[in-house]
Parts: sequence; structure tokens; C-alpha cells
Amino acid sequence: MNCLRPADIYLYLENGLDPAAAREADEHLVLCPGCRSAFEERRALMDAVAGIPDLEVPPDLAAKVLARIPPDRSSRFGWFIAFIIGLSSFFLGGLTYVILTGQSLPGFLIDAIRSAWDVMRDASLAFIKFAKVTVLGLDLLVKFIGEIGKGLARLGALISPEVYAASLLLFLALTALLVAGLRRMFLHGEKS
Amino acid sequence: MKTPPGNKPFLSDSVSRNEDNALVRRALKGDRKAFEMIILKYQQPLLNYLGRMTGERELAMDFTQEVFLKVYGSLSSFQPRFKFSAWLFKVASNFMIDSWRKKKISTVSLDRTRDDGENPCSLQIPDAGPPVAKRYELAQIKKRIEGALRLVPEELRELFVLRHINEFSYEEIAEIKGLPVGTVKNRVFQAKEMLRGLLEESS
Repeated sequence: MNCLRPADIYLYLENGLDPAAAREADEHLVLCPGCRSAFEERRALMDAVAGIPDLEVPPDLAAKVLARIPPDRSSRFGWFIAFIIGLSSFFLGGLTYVILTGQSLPGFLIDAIRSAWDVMRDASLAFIKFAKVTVLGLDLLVKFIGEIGKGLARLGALISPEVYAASLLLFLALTALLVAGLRRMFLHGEKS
Repeated sequence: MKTPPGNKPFLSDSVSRNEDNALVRRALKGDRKAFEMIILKYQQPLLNYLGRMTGERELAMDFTQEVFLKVYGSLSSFQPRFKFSAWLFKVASNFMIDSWRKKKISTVSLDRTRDDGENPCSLQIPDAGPPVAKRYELAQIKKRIEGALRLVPEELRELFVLRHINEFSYEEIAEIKGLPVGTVKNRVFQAKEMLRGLLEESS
């Protein structure tokens, strides 16, 4: 066997060589003083590195981190608290309005209900318009895709099947690469 | 990573992974205790990594806090099919890279004496163990390694620290850094040989 390369010595030390190569290295180290010296030197280094002690963690580190985290935003009662606060604000606002304007409480409630009704009616109209625009957009999209299909079919008739298949494969490969890239960007790990 | 806290194995890999995923799920539901358990589990390896990367104790502790806050803020983007420890160190690594970009970190000795009582982040030299002379020798070697490590270029040092201080596998490091495994192996090897050369020069 040839002399061990430094990279192989480190692999040997980390049990990273395959069994056959490790056996050969064992045998060679017995016979070759140069490799034995190189091996001992690197083993001493790795032993020393393994002995580097941990840094001491301050006992209050976790508490310090938690103190900087804002109170729980996703509490299961969060929505209920928000609802109660909203309702209380409405009544408090109404009461203030009634006191300041001198309007009667039933009158105020009727006005409030009427205003709420107006808002709901306007919102419903806006939603209907939005739905119509969405349907039109979808219709256009379907027609557009249909035209692309027709175009591809005509193209297929003009070019040979091999070129057509190659183009299709290329398109699929590019799409797969794009999807893989996007997955890597958005799903795997934090992006700071 | 073979050994989460304190570089001592205590759970099998899959058990630890399931446990991490359960803690993340609970933390995402607003369970602060679960996030505290994540911090307690990973504060030691994270501080070891950041300590060796910054070379400064106070800064390493600040960075550790910042990384945990970043992790908390990004928990919803963690995908359970990946290993949490690798994801956490990816966040830490990105944080270090950002810091290097913002300003070049000046390096200060990690192995200052422990007598500055205010500073709780000092090396843990065991009280009992080899005789005094042997302990002194070992301490000297470790001190020299810490010193030499600071002279290794950051991009090599980081991979070396992840491999030999945090004990991640080459595959895990490749995942953390987004590099091919072969490149990681080659750079860790370069770091080791550089470290060996620096130690030879200093002796």
C-alpha cells in the first residue's frame, strides 16, 4: 500500500474509511515510521481539539431570551379577549356619544344599526362586483390556456415528434428546477 | 449533530428529533415553556459555536440570545421533515454571516482568566482530574489551539467548529451551509491542516 495521505489519516481517525481501507491503513502504519509519525501528530491534534471545554452558559440565558419575547400572540383565548375589548369599546363609545350629544339611547341604537346595515350592504355590493370580476378573469384565463393548447397542437403538427418531445422535456426540466429552487428558498430554513 | 447539550449524548437521534418537533409545535401554539426547553437544550452547543466564531465571550452570549429570538420569530417556517438542530444552526450561521458583513468582528481571547467575576462565560476547567503539571500542560495546549483557531479564516473555521466542536456530521454541515459534502470535507481538512501548521509555528 502507498503511504497515507493526510486527508486519509483524518478519515481514519474519524472512522471514516471503509473497512478494507482501514485494515490496509492499520497494516501500513505498523510498517511505515513516516506515516506513523504523521498519524501520531494528527491524532494528538484531534485529541486536543476533542478536549476543548464547553463555554460556560450563564444560568439566566433562557430567562433573558424569554423576557425579550412579547406576550403570547396566539393564545386560544386571544380572539375572545379581542371580541370583549371590541364590544366594550363600542358600548363605551356609544355611551360617550349619547352623553355628549344628548341623544336618546334608543335613537342612538337605531342610528348605529342603520349605519351597520349600510356598511353591510355596501360590502355585499363590493363583494358581488369582485366576484363578477373574478369570474370574468377566470373565463379569460381558460380561453388563454385553450389558445395556448391550440397553438401547441399546431406547432406539434409543424415540427417533428422528436423536436416536440425534446422541447417538452426541456420545459418540464426547467419547471422542475424552478419549483425546486422556490422550495429551497421558501421551505428549507430561515432566510435572513 | 451527535450530541446536543454539553457535547454529551443523551438521546437517540430519532427520539431527539421527535422531541424537537413536538417542542416546536407546542411553541408555535404559544407555549413559552416549550420554547424555554428548546433554549435549554441548545444553548450550550450554540454558545460553543458562536463563542468560537466570534472569539469574544460577551458578544457570543449576545449573539446566542439574538439567534434564539430569530429562531422564535421564524419557527413557523421550520419544516419538520428537516432536523431542527441543523435548521437552528443554519439560522445561527446566517446570523454570523450578516454580522461579518455589517462589521468585521474584532477577536478577543476566549481563554482570559476566570477572575473577572462579572463574566460568567468562561472556560470550564475541571477541578478534579490529572495531576497539576499535566493539567497545566493540557490547559496550555487547549489555549494554543483556541489561539490558533482564531487565525483560521472564518469560512474554514466555521466548518471546523461545526464538525469538531459541535460534532455535526459532514452531511448535516452540508445541509446547514448549502454546500456539497465533498466541499465540506475538503474545507474541514484544510482547516485542520492549517491549524496544525499554526500550532507548529507557535511551538
